[in-house]
Amino acid sequence: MILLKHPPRQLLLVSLALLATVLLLTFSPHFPANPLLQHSRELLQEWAMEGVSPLLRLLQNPIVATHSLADRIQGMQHIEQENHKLKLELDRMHSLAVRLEELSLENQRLRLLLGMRPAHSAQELVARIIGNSSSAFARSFLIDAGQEDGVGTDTIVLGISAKAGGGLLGRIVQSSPHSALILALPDLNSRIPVMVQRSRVRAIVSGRNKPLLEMEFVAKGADIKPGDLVVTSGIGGVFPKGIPVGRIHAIAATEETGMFHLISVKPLVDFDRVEEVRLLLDPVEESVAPQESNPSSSTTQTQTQNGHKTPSVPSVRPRSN
Amino acid sequence: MLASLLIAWIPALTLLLAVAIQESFIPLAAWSVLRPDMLLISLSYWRLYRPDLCTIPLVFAIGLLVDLLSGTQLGLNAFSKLILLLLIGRFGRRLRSMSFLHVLFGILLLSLLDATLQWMVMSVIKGYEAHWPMLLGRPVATVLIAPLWASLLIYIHHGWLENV
Repeated sequence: MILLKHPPRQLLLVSLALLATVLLLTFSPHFPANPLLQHSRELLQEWAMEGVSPLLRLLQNPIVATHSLADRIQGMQHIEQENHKLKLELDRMHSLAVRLEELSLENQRLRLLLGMRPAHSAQELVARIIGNSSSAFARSFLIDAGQEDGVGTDTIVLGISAKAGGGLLGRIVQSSPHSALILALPDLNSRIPVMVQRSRVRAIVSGRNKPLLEMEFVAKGADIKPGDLVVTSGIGGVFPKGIPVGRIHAIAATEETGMFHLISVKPLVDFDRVEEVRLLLDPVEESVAPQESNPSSSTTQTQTQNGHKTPSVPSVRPRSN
Repeated sequence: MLASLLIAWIPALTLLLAVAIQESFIPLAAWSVLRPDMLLISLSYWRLYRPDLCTIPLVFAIGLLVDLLSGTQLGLNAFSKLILLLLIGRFGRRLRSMSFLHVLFGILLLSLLDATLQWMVMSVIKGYEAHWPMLLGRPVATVLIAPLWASLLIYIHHGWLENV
């Protein structure tokens, strides 16, 4: 009835447009099976991101300035207290850093003795979030780094700040030369192979477009407790092993859940407050023998004033722009 | 001649700006829930007062742009915005003659309908479970920001498009 109130030309246009949307809604989930359609979709998405990201960057500047000013004002109220706390933390971290370095060297020696493949460390890149497309149906972020910075599909994204948490945030699903789209953990399409760090129980963590994640395929009776840390298991090859994802929030086992537990996981990253992200670019092979490592390798060592070495940290790649 | 041709694209530019604002990132928890649908306000305004400059292909393209940017189901926003456009076309004359408060109530209904349509489509396609705070937060935020955004559109309309 509503359609019939329109003039014939409008009617034709509306009908065509509606038909196109229905076709897209029906067949777009099957695009990955067709290389041509998938490539067209990726190209369109790339153009859309390249076209809108300069505008998003422009809008982001006053938001970042206002937010950092508010943060600074808020921070000044507790600066002395925080300074004292940070000094204590630094002292504690210093002893931990020395121990970490020792353990790292020991680990490399033992790996060599056992003939294990050397561990891989990734190069890192820091990027700023410029767009947040989170809605009731999707949870994704747009960042200001893209193909020209080495960011591609399946690049791993981590949270960066102490305030917003530093665990796994998601992975890149689409990149253009200067921007990239992150599929965040709570998105309905997100599935991460994980394991419980303490008991090594393996499972899949999936997004539900809600603040909490769901842990699937954990049999009743598995050794899991609330508060356990969940890390990536490395299965599937996309996510490296050992990246912290979240903590077990609640466990339920009813008749409705069948032979599995119903487990919710609280992500470590606060998706509403994260502003910058760390991207793990292509992994770089670490040197096997500690004696052979040189200062210009992918891992860097810095010397402090007291002559102590801080542990090896992944190198942070400079941005192209 | 060229100037008037360029000016005719102003509604399209305001739609693009609306998309950029609603897709921008604000590090606040409330932003995820109370994110206004600026695109819906702009579409409603231009479709009500300058339907000649807010054409069906433009609405389709801008809906598709939102889908591509958010990485959501392709066609979801394009579909819901086209349905809203049909409704505005049907009841536009009546809405135009009403007071601003009534129009505001109309925008609330359109925004709720937009959320409901998208939820229904996603339920059919992906078995989506409704996240009510996010579904209902957007219409509320849209109505709250509508007077401000509409004032800007009225200013642009009267300042630039009166003689086009």
